[in-house]
Amino acid sequence: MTKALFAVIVVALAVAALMLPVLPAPEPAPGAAVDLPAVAVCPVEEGGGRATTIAVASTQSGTGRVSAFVGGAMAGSVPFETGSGAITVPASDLAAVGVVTGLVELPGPEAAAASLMVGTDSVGHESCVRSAEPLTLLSGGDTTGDREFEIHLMNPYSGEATVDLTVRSESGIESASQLRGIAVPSRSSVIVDMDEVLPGRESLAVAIDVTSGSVTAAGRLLSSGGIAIWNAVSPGQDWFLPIPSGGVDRVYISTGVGDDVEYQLDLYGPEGLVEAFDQGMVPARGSVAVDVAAAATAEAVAFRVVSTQPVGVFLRHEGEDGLALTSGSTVTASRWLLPGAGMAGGSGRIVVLNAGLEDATATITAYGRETVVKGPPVRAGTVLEFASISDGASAYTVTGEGLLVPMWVTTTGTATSYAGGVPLIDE
Amino acid sequence: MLSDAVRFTMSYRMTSASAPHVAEEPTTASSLDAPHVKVIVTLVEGADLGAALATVDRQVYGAIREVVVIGEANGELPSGVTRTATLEEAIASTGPEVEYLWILHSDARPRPDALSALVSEVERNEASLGGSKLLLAGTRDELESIGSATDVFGDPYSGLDEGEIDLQQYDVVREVAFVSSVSMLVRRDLAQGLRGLDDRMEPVAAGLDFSQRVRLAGGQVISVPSSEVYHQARCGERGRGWREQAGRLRAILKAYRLITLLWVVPFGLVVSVIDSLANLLLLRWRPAARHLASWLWNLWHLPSTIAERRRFRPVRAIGDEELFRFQARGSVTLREVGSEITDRILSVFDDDQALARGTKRLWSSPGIWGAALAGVAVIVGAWSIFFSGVPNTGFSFPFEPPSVGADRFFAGWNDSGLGSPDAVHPAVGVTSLVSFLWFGLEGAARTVATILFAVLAVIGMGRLAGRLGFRGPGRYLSGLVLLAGPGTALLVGSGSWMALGAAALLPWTVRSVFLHPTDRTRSWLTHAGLVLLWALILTAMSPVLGLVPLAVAVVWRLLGGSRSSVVLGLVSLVAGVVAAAFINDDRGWLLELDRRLGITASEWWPIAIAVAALPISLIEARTRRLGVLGAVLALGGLIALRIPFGGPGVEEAAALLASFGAAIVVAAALDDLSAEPRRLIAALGAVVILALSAGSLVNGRLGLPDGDDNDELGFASTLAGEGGPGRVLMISVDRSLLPGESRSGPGFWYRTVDGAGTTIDEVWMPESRSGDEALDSAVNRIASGAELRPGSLLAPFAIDWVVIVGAESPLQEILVSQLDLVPTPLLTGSEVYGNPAARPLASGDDGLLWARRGAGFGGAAGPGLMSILVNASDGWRPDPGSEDWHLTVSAADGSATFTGGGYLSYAPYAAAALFLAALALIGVGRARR
Repeated sequence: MTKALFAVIVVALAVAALMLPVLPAPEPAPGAAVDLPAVAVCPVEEGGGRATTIAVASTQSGTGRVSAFVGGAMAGSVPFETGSGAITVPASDLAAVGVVTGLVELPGPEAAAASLMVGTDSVGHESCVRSAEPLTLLSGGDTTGDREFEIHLMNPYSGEATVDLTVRSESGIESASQLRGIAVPSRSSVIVDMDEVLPGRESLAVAIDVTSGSVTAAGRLLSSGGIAIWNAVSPGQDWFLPIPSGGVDRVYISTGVGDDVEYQLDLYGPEGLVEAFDQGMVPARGSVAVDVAAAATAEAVAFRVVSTQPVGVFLRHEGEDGLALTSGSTVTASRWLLPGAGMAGGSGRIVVLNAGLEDATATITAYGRETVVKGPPVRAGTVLEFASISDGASAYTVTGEGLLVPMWVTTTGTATSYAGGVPLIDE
Repeated sequence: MLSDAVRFTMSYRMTSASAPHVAEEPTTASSLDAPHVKVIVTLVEGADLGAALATVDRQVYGAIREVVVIGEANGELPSGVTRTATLEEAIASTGPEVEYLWILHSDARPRPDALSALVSEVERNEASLGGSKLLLAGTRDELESIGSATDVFGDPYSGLDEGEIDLQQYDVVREVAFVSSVSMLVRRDLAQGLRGLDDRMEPVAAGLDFSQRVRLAGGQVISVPSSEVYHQARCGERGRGWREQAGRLRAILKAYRLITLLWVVPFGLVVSVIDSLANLLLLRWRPAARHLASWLWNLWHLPSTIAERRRFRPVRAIGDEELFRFQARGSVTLREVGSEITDRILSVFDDDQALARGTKRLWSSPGIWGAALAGVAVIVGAWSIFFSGVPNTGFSFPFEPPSVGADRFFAGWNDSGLGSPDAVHPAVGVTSLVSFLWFGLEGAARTVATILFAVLAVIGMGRLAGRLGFRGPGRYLSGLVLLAGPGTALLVGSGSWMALGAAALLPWTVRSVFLHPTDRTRSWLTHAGLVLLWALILTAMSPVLGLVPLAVAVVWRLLGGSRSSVVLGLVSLVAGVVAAAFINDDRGWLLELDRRLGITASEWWPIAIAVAALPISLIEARTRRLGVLGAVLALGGLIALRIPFGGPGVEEAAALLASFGAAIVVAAALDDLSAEPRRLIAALGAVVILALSAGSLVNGRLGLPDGDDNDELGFASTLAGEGGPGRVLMISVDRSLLPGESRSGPGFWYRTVDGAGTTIDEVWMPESRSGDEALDSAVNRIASGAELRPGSLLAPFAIDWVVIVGAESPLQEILVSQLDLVPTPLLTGSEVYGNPAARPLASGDDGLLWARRGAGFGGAAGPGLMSILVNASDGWRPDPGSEDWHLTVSAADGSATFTGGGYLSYAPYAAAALFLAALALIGVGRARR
C-alpha cells in the first residue's frame, strides 16, 4: 500500500513538473517610440569668395542652436529663439572657416533650416537634411571641363562614421580605392573631390552607403564661378519635380540597386497630367539623364517619376543665368516650409505643383521684416509659379488643402539656384 | 593403506589441544558407515609428491576408497595409488560408491585429522563443498586462507592481515565465497555435474571458479577451520600472479549472468585502469602489466569461456544474488592501493602508523570511494578557481573589505544602483565575517570560501545521507548533484555565488534537524545551537531557503520517518531574523515575478529523477522513504519554478531545493549497487542525473560563468577624473550579460554599477526611489532618440560611462546621432561611450570633491553643502537634505555617514547575537556532555 502510494506521489509530481507550462522569460518593457530630435545638418562654406547663412523657418516658437563642427570639435555655436517666423545665422558668427558641418537644433518638428551660399556671381541654396539615412543617392554632377564636383560628407555627431561610395559613370562602376572605407571623424566633415578622383566623367551616379555611424551628404558643383549645392536623397519610387518657367536641362534618375530599373516620367503641363511623357531604363547602380528641355516652356511645369525600384531624382539647370541643381520630393503635403527663400536677393519665384485631383488653395506666407500672405488657387494637376511677394524675406511657407509640392527659385542675373521645400507632415 | 609413507616435520600444534574432537576418535571405529572419499592429488611443480601421499596415508579417516594422482609424476607411485591424465577424467571415473572427492595439491601437507574434519563438517552442515584452513608451511602457523570473500570483480578478500598468526581466532565453520583448491572436499555427484576444476586456471582462481559454480548450482560452500593443511605455496604466488588474475576474471565471466556482466565488465576495466595508474604512482609497473595480460589472456580464451558458460547453464540453479551475498562492497584492489597511498602520505606525519591502520577500515567503506570520486570531481570542477580566483561576473561579485561589509550589514548604506537606505542582502554579513576571519584579504577569502562551498556540499551531502542511513558510494557523489544539479547549475551558471554557498550549507542545516539514530549523548542545547548556527548562515545566503529544513523535517514525518525533529525545524526559523530587514525593505525580491531570473530546468530532469526515484519507491522501507523524500523535494522544486508566484528569492530557493532533492535521490539510488532490476534502474537514473550534473562542472569554475566584469570596466577607475570613478550605466538586450540584477528599460535592461568596481552588496537592486525614477525617465528619453545630448541627461547621476553589452540594441542606432557621449573603443564586443559631462559623485562649493570612504563619503572639510549623487535619505549625517532627488550634507565634518532607522534596523544585531548564542549553546552543550 505504502509502495503504491509513494510510487503514485513520485509519478504525479514528475508529470506535474513536466506538464506545467514554463514561465515566460522576463522581457524588458516595450521599446520606446522613436522620436528623433528636431535637428538639421547643413553644409557650410565660409571663405573662398562665398559666405553661408543658415536660415531657420518655424511655425512654432522655441529655442534652438546653430553649431559648426570642424576637425573633431565644435567651432562655434549660436543659440537662437524664434517665434512663428524665421531667423538667420551667418556662418561668420560661428567662427567657422572653410567647408564645415553645420548642425541646427530646431525649436521643434514644425521648423526647418536651409543653407544659403552666396558669392559674387553665385548662389547656392538648399534645405538642410533632417535625418541621416544609411543609403542615399546623389546624381547630376559631372567632372568634365573646369567643373569641380565635390561630395561633402558631414558628421556632426560624437561617433566616427565610415562611408562607401559606389560610383557609376559612363565608364561603368568606378573602382577607385579612394571611394571605399572613407572615415568621417566625429564632429567633422570630409570632402571627396570627384574631379580629382574621377576626372572627365560626364555622368556620375553616386550611392552613399554609410556602413557605420551617421553621415549626411551633399553635392557641390562649381562651374565658372557658379555654384550649385544639393542634397543626397534617400531612394524612393515616386518623385515630384516642380520645374520653373524658363527651362530645365535635364532630369537625372539614378538608382543604387543592382538591377536595371524601369521608370516613367509623367508631365504636369498647362493641360494637366500627361502620363508617360518619357520612359526608359536606369542601369543598375547608374543614372540616366532625361533631356526635358522640350517640355520646359514659358510656363512652369512639373514631372512625376515613378519607377519599379527605388531611385533618386534630381533636377539640373545650366545656362547663362548660372548653374542650379536640386533634388525632387518624394512626398506631397499641404504645408511646406521654404527656409532661406528670398534671402539671396535678385528675383525669387515660387513654383507650386498641385499633384492632387482637386483644386487647391495655396497660401504663401513670407517671413521677413513683415509677413505677407497671398493665396492663389492652384488647379488640380497643374503648376503655378509666381514671383516673390516680399522683399527682404528670409523664409516662406506654403499651406493649402491639397497635395502640394513647392520649389523656390532664385535668379540674380548671373546665378540661379533651386531649392526644394521641407514638408510639414500632418499629424 | 600407504606403505611408504614419508614423514615430515609438522608444527607443535599437530598434537595441540585445539585439534578438533573428531581427530581423537578411533580411526576405524565408524569407517564402515562413514562416507567414502576418493582422494585426488593434483601435481604441483617442485612439490614432493611422495610426502603428500604420505600425509594422505596418515589420515585418520578410515573411508578413503581410492587415491588418484593427476598428471605425469616422476617415479613410481606407491601401491594403491593410481594415475589419471586429467582431473575431469578422475572425477568422471569415480563410482557412485564414493560420496566425496578430496582434491589436494601435492604441495599440501594436511594434518592427519584434516580429511575427517572436512567430512564431518560438510556432512553436519549439509554443504557441497568444504575447504581446509591453510597455514603456510615453514612458518609459525601463519594463516594463508580460511576461505575468502571476494569483491564483485572476483578479487579475493581474506580479511587476513599480512603475516597474521593463527590463534584460532577464525575457528568457526562458516559459509564463504570460495575455498582454495589446495584442499577441498566436494560432493562427488556435484563434482561430476560441474566437471571439476577448470584446468586453465591457477589454484586460487580455480577454487574461486569451482566454488562459484557450486554455489550457483545450489550448493553450500563452507570453510572448515578444524581441517588444517600446511601449504608450501609452490602452486603460485599466493594468488598474485597474472595467471591467477586472469583466472579470476575468467571465473566471473563464466559465473555471472549477462545482465551482471554488462556493468561488471566496464567497471572492472575502470578498476584495472585506476589500479594500474595508482601503482605507477607508487613506481610499480607490474600491476599494470598483470592487468593487461589478464584482459588479453581472457580475450584470447573468450571462445572457451563462452563454451564453459554454455556447459554450465543447465546446472545453474540460482541467480547472481547468491554470489553477491558473500562479496565485499567496492573493489578490493582499489581499497588496497588506496590504503597504501594513504599510508604513505600519512606516514609523513604519523610515525606510529596509528592513522594508517585506521585507513584500512576507512577504505573498506564503499562510501569512501564515492567520496574520493566526488573529491576528484570537485578538484577538477574547481581547478580554474585555484589558479585564477572566482569569476567576477553575473551575480558573483567580489567581497568588500570586512569593515565596509559589516557597516552595510548593520543597517548601513546600500550602495547598489543609486543607493538606498534599504537593507543589503544578508549574505553581505557572511562575506564580511569570512573576510575578517581570513585576515581581511577579501579576494583570498572569496576563493577559499568558494572552494570550501564545494567541499562542504560534498561532505555535507555525505554526512546528511549518512545520518539518513545511507552508506553506499552515492552519498558523497550526491554532493556533486547538489553542486550542479537541476537548479544549482542554472543559478550558478548565471553567476549566483550566493546560490552556490546556500547549496553547500543546505545539507548541513537539514542534517542538524535530524537526530542521530544511536548517539543520544548530544544535548538539546547542542542540537539547538547547531540548528541555529547553520540556519543563520543558510538564511543569510538564501533567505527563503531557510524554510527548507523545517519543510524537510515535516515531509519526512509525513512519509513515516521518525528521526527528524519538527521542533528543531521550528528553531531554524528563528534564523529568519538575519534576513528580516532585507525582506521587509525589498519585498519585491520575495514577491515580484518580473524580477525572477527566468531560469528553466531542462525537461530531462524530472524524467531522470522519476526514473531514479520510482524504482526506489518500490523497494525496502528505509531506502524507499528516503528516495521518495528526495523525489518530493526535487520535483516540488521543479514545479515551484514553473508556478507563477514569487520573486527571485522564491525562484532561488525552488531551484536549490530541486538540486537538493535530486541529490538525495542519487544517494538513495546508489546506496546499494546490485543487479536487482529495481535497484539497477534506479542506479541508471542516478548515473544519468550525475552525468547531467557533472556537465556543468567541467568548466573548472564550479559552473560559474567565465569573465571579469571589474577587469573589463577597469577603465572607469583608470580614466576617472579628480572626483574619482563615478558610475557606469550598463545596458543590454540580454539581461544575463549585465552584472547582478537589472531594471527593465524600453527594449533593453539596464543598471548602474560602481565605476570603482562592483562588490557583492550590489548584486540586488533595492526598491526604486526618486533618483531611480529620474534615471528611468532619462533612459527612456534617450531610448526614444529625442535627446541629442544624452551625456548631459545622465550627468546628474554621476554616470561617467555608458556600456552597451552584447547583441545589438536599438539604442546603439540611436546613439549614433548624438552629440556628447563619446564612443570609445575600450571593449571588444561591447560599445563604450564616455560621458565628459558627468558630474562627480560628491562635490561641493569651490570645487570641493569627496570620494567614497567606507560605506559613506569623505574628503576635505569645507563650508557649504556637498552634493552627493545618491538617493536622498534622512539617515545621513551631518545635516542631510535633498536637491532634486539626490542627497546634500554639510561639508563641515569632512565626511558623511549613514545609519539606518526603523525597528528592523536592529534585526542584524539580533542575528549577530543569535549567532554568538548558537556558538555558546554548542559550547555549553558539549561541556555538559
